[in-house]
Amino acid sequence: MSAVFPPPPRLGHLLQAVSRQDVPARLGAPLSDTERRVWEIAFGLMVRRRFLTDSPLAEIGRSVATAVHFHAAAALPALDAEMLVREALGEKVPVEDIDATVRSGVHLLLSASLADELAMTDGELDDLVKQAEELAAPIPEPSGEEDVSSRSAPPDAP
Amino acid sequence: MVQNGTLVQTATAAGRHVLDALGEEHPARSLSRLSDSPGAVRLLRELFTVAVRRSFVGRDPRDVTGYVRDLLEYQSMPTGGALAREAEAVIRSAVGEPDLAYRIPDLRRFELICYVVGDLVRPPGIPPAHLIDLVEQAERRAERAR
Repeated sequence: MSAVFPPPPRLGHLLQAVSRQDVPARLGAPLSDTERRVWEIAFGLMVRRRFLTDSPLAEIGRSVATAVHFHAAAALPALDAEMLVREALGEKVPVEDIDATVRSGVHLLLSASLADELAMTDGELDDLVKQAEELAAPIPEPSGEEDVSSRSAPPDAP
Repeated sequence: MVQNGTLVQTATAAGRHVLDALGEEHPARSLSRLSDSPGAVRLLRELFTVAVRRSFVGRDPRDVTGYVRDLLEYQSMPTGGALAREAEAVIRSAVGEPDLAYRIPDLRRFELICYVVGDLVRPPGIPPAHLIDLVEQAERRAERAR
């Protein structure tokens, strides 16, 4: 980590900053695959907090339109954003080849916009991000050593 | 040819070209060959608008997603990517969400329109009389728009 430049903001702070328009949207690119994963999970949590799986598309569309217009400089494609929301709600939608930059932009900016819609407090936002970080943590591989004491004894040979 | 003489007589020249194309073995491809006829292109766009509005207005827009998946599967085209999103955008733009399709180039939009209009005659297809009604309505809309 550079001693000169400050560390990058945590996602919760970044979401708050983007919601308040304190930082330009273009600064919101994840630094690593792990961070990208955290953003994606946080987006999913946020979407499921805001919408039901069968929420009317018009309602989803309104939220997407609000985010797209609010962050107009990021030029997010509205339909791609809507598809990512619907995917997060468990719907089978065509999202296979959405550009990684677009995905990240949607995850960050839409999350920020939804946090604003939900009037989430800073604490609630940080809790959600912490939950996303926990969910993004890699599951440890099971060790190769097996507990011998737990094995059942082999049957006696006849 | 699927259409009979009565059908052909009811249409304008552009309408006859469209109906002829719909009677071919590969309707979407045949319709796309009308791209050098401004009258036929205008009529196709109106026919597309009439067809999708009569099919989808008042329904859940998610039905469009399912329809597009079915259409692309029938055409043996990929159902999970950009083409599917563009097809959904073009259809939904005609039923009240015009902003969705403004980034889609004209040529791609025309191709997708050809697929959707061509799908009208996918077996079993809509009844011939209904097809005539749609074409006539599209002709009137095209005439009014000139």
